[in-house]
Amino acid sequence: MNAQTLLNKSRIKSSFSKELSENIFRFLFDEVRRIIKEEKHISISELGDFSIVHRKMQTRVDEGGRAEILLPPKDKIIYNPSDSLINRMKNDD
Amino acid sequence: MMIKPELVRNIVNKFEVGEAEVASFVDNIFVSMSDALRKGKNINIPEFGKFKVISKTKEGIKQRYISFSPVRQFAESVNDNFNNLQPQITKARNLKSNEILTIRECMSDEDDEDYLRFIFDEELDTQVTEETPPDIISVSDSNVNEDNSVAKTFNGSTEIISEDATIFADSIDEEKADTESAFELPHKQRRFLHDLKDDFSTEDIDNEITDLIFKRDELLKELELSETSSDVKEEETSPESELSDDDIIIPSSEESEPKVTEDDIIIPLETAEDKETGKDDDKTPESLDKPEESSEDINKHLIPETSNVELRIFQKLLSDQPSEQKDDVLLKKSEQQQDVISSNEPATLTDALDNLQNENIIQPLDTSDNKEPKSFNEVFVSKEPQYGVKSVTPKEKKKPLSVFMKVLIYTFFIACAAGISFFLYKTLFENLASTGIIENLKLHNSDSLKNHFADDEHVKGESVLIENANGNIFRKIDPFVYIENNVCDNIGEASDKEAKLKSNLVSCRIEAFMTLDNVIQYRVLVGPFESLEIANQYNLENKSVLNSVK
Repeated sequence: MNAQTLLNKSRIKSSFSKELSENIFRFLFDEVRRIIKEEKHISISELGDFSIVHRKMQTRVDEGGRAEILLPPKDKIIYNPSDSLINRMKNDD
Repeated sequence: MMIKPELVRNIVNKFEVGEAEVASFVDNIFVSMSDALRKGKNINIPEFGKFKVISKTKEGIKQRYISFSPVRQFAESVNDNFNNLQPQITKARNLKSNEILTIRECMSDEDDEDYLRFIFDEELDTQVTEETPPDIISVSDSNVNEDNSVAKTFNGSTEIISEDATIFADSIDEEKADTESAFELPHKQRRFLHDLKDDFSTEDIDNEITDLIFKRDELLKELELSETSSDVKEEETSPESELSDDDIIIPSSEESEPKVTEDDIIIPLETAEDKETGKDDDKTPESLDKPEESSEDINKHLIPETSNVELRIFQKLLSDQPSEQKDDVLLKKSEQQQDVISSNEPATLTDALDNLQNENIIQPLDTSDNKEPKSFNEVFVSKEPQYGVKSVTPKEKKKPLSVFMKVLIYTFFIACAAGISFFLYKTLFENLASTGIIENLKLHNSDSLKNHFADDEHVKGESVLIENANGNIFRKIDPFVYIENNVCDNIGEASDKEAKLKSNLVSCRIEAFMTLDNVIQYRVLVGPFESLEIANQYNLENKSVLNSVK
C-alpha cells in the first residue's frame, strides 16, 4: 500500500477535497517526524510507539578479515507495535 | 505520550478546518494503516518510512513481524549529531601469524591505482631509506567505500547491523610510526597477496623478481593448469579456503545479509511480557534449504562448463539428445561390421546371392499356388512406379469460376440458342408461306385475329348491314342477326360499353372493322338473334337499356 492508496482510502469517509486532504496528510507526517525528533517519543494508539534510542559507540570484530571496526554512536528510531495491533494480528493468525 | 489531540490541533490551526472532521480523517489514516498491516500488506509513506510485515515459521509456528525503516532523510535528521562520524578500522591482524598489525592514516591524497605500493610519511621522507621494512598497514581515507552490512556476535547477542560506511584509518596505534613506512590498500583491491615479513628488504624484492623472470614459463603453465581446474574447485572450496594465510580481507557486503539495514528494527509479535522472556532468541533469518540436485543437474556436472556460450549450448543439446549419441555408436558398429563383411567377400556372384539368401536378406519369390491370381492393376499398375522414374505431371488446379461468370456464360448460351431458333423459324416459315406449302399443309398462323374469329362457329366473317330503320341498325353474321349498339374509335371505349351492357344482362360482342379511310373502328353488337324479327322485338323491349349505353 502506498501513500496515495492510503490517502484515497481515508479521504472517502471525509469531506475534504483532494488537494486539502493531500496537504493535511503531508502535514500530519511532517508533524509526526517533528514530534519524534523533539520529544524523542510518540505514541499512536492504532499503530504503536516510535522512539529514539541512543546507541553507544561499539566495536565489531570481522573474523574473516581479522579486523576490528569501531562503529560511531548513533541515534536510532525504534518502532514498537501497539498491543492492540499485535492482538489483532494474532487473532487473524 | 498520546499525541493525537496535539496533531489534530496543529492541523486545525494550520488549515482552519473543523476539528471533528480532522480528527476523523486522522483516525481513518491510522486505522487504514493498521488494517493494512493486519492483512499483511506493506506500507510505504515517502515522507515517513516503510512498514514491512515479515512472515516467519519458527519451530513450526508461523509468526509475523512488523519492521519499520525510516526514510534516509528522517533517519539522518534524527542522527544529526553523529552523521559526520564514520566507522573505523581500529585493528588488523596478520592472517598467517595472527599478529596485530598497526593501522596508520595515509598522509597524502593518492591516485586511484589498482596496485600496491608503499607510502611514506612526509616527515620521514628524508629519513626513511628504501631498505626500511614496511611493517605498518594503513587504510587511506578514500580507499574503501562500501555499503557494509556485518553480522557479528557481540556481547553474547547476535545483532544485524548495516552501515553505509566509508572505511578509513585514523592513526590509532603509533607504536612504530617514527621509523616505519605505511602500506596502502589500493582503491579497488580488497585482498593483499603480499608476504609481510619482518626482514623484508629491497634485496629480497630484487631476488624475487629475478626468480620470477627465470621461472616465467613454469609459472605460466601452472597458471593454465590452475585456470582449467579452478571451475571444478570453486564448487568444492569455500571462498575463505582460497585465500592464503597472508590475505587481509576488508569485510564486504557479500558476507552478510544485504537486504536488512541497520535501521530495520525487527520486533516480534509478542506482548511486553513475552518480550522479557524471549529476549535472547535468535532473530537472524533462517537459511534456506538448498534444493536437491536432480538427475539433469548431475548430468550437467559431467560436462565441464565453459565460458563460451556457443559451446554451452552445444553441450546442452548433447545432453538433451542422448539418442543421437547412441545412433553415432550404432553407426560406428555398423561400419566395423562392414569391414568384417568385406574381409569375408565371396568369390562369385552366385555365392554372394546364396549367402544373402541364407542370411534371409533376400526374400524368396512367393511361389505358393493357394493365392488367388491377382488382377493386372494389382500386379503391374500398382507396382509400376517401383521400376521406373515416375513422371510427375503437376495437376493444374482448376480455378473455380465465380457465380457471376457462370450466370453470364449460361445467359450467353441461352441467348444464342434463342436467336438461332428465331432465325430458323422466321426463314423457314417465310419460305414455306411464299411457296404455298402452309396452305397446302393447312398450317395456320394461330395468332391471326381473322382466323381466330373464323374458327368460331358462331362467327364467320365480317357482319353485313341488313336493315337500318329509325336509327336502329341490324347486322348479320351468318346465320345470326345482331343489333349495332355503338361504333367506337378505340378498343377501350368499346370494352366499356360492352361491360355496361353485360352488367345489364345484355349479351353482346365487339367487332373490329376497317373503314374506307383505312381506320380501324370497333362495333358493339348486341346479340345474337336467330332472326331479324326477334332482334327487332328485343330492341323494342329493351330500348331504354340499350339507349342508356349509347
